[in-house]
Amino acid sequence: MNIIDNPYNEKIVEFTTQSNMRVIVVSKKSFVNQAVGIGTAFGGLTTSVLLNQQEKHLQPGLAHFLEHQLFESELGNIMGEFTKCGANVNAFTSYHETVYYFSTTNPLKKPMTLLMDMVNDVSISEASTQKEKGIILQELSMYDQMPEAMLLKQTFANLYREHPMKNDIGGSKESVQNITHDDLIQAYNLFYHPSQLTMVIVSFEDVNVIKQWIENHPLASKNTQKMDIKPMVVNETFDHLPQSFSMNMDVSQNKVTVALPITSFASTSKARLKQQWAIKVLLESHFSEINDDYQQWMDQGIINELFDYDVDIEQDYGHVLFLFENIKKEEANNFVLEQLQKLTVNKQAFEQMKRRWIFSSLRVFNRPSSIMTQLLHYSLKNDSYFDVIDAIESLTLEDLQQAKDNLETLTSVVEVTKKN
Amino acid sequence: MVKQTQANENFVFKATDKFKDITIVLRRMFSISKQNTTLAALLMYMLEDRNEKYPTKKEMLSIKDHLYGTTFSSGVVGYGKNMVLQIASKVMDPQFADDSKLLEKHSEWFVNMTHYPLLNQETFLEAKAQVRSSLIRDLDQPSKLAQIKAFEALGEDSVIAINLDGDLNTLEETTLQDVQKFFKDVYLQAHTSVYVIGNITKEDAKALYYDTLNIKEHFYPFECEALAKEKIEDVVESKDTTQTQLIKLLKTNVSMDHPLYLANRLAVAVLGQLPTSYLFVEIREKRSLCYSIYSQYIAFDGLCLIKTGIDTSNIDEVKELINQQVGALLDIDEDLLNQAKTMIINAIKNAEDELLSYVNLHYSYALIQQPFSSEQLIKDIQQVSKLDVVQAVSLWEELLTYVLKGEQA
Repeated sequence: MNIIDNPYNEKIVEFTTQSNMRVIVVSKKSFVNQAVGIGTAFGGLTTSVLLNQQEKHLQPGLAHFLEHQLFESELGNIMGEFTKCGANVNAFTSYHETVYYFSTTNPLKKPMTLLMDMVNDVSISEASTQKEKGIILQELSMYDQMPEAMLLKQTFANLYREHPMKNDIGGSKESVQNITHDDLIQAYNLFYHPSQLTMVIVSFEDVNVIKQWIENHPLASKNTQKMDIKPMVVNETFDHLPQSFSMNMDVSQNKVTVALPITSFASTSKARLKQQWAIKVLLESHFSEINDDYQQWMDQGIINELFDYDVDIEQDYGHVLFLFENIKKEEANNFVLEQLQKLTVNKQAFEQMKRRWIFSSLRVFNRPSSIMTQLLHYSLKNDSYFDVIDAIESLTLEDLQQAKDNLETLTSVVEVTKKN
Repeated sequence: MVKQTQANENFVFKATDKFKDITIVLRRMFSISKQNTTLAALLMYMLEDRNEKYPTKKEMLSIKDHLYGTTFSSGVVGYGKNMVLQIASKVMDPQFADDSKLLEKHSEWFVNMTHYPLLNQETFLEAKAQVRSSLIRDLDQPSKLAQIKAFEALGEDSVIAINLDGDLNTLEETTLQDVQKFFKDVYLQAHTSVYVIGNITKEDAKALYYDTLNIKEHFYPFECEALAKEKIEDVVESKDTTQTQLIKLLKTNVSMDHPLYLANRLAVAVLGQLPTSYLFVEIREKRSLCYSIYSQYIAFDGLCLIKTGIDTSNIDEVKELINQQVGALLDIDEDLLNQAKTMIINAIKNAEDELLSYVNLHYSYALIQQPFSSEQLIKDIQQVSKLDVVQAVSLWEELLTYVLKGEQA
């Protein structure tokens, strides 16, 4: 077992099973709750892959559908089995990953074994696939009635024309209808090989005992052939920008997003993390209470308490997103473009933010479930959670200047507004 | 029954070194009315925004960052005819910070935050605009709108019909003077409880976070009474959305201080709080009629709420299935009952790690004058029998079914 060094003196070890599954164990003796997650880097964006050097296209929403189906077991109601041993089980699919997890204050071995059983085999019938379609379609309808969820869905669908970010994580009603039983089995075989799985355990149990339990499970010694599979890199050209779009919903207040693509990416994931934080620092020093003008913008009704921004940079895409409420889309767009011209590198604000974010990252270790989620997320991207802290700590004023120089000024504006 | 909330519950301390920070929770209780909920919403915004010592947003953020990213948040919780305005702040355990005086500085800042808000016309107008937007935002969410409308349908004479987040009409009539009076006469005079949890001594906790707040120790009359209202005719409204919201309210006649309280809590869990619960299995898993369906026990009002989102064409089928599942509780499956016990006990144990859950549990028991002991509570849950649950469920009565029809569903 390797010890993972970290600035917070947390006891973290990792090892790899015979089947090549990566396992990370965090010892938290003083907590009564424990959290375990198993994840694969199969998410909403995984719609095109190179399989044995051949392009393969998958239906949008396939990862999310498979997440639902893994709870269908020939052994019976697997959720009920978790409940019997006092464990709360659930799963989620993001753009980048699918994660199955549980938390419990009760003995760990049984629910941990159940979780490993769940991902170790897939036993879904044609009938259960049809049944699950109905549930997933209701889930999509639920999100489609939420103004903010619809706004974000439409924002990405407009910003991206080629990249799979244009698709909703759950897919569309049409793509879900098109997913077949065979698609699900094939996706399982591609993305649930142990070498593509990472498991994170946060527990008060002895780490050697946990290791023994894991190594005794068939998932740890599974000897199936590993597929040669790589995500396809899709380069978006953004020739369609600038653009503007309105959609009507039964709402009383309009909401607007202004999105800007990032077209210049750093080459390594650590460098991209640093690039992302550099942009966050730049934006936070201008679009937050740190800026003297912030109060004036509120008083003028340009922004309100819902106003927010976000930065996301990955291997083949990146964007900055601003969210407004109760403002016309043209005004929001002009405001963003005007203010981006005024971005400055403020050393004092930079130090203030570094301090806030570094101590905020420490708080993740207050909850077993937060530790599990964060460690798993970064691990599935072949990064470490502690790289985030390094990225923030190592930022320089030059990094901020470079980030500023690379910001695009082409925008995609989307508005959700009331019907006439 | 009217009980007196005890003055000795003003200060609750819990020592633990498992967290990276120290948490301070301040709870002030007062009665629910449209005025009080609206004034509380305004005051919460103003408390968080700025104060006399830090009169600009910039200064406020700067001091929070200087105090190692200390946090300050507020919210409201309903307890029958009363509500609590809760303030929570987290400050880094000084062992992780490079400042031995951090807690003293935080304490001084916390007093400024809670006792010296900047209540002037400028901050008031900003708060009013933000609260208005927030209330309208909720009404734009069909799920939240349906819940607000379902409770409103119970009538103006029911306290639970009042939205704890505030009332739009009352907001428009509210003045700065109303907020100032509410702050002075209601908020500062309210029965107050302070919780301090973290790596700190009891003496320091009391000196820094209780003595400094000048809390008025007094008794507060607290009434715990299940809602007594006759059945109301079903309400059907519509909205141009993609899903229909269906809410069913049941009068259980069992509130938090009733001998059958735990049996009732287990019944609600078996009905719709587990992945194996009746509603989840019969309506979602077997028939794919919904994605989300659950039941909730509003214990201080003795209400059970059932909520789901469905296609309009399935309204009658789902209503019938819900009735069947409520009926099934009268012959509750023992295996499911045991699963519900296991999960509720798990949640009680978990409250040791989740501070706000702990505060909620402790506070609820203090209100009904039962000292909170997780060990005793777990024993009591284990002793609930099938007969107890059947007895509790036999008291349930239909109250209201509210449907918000999605015109595109």
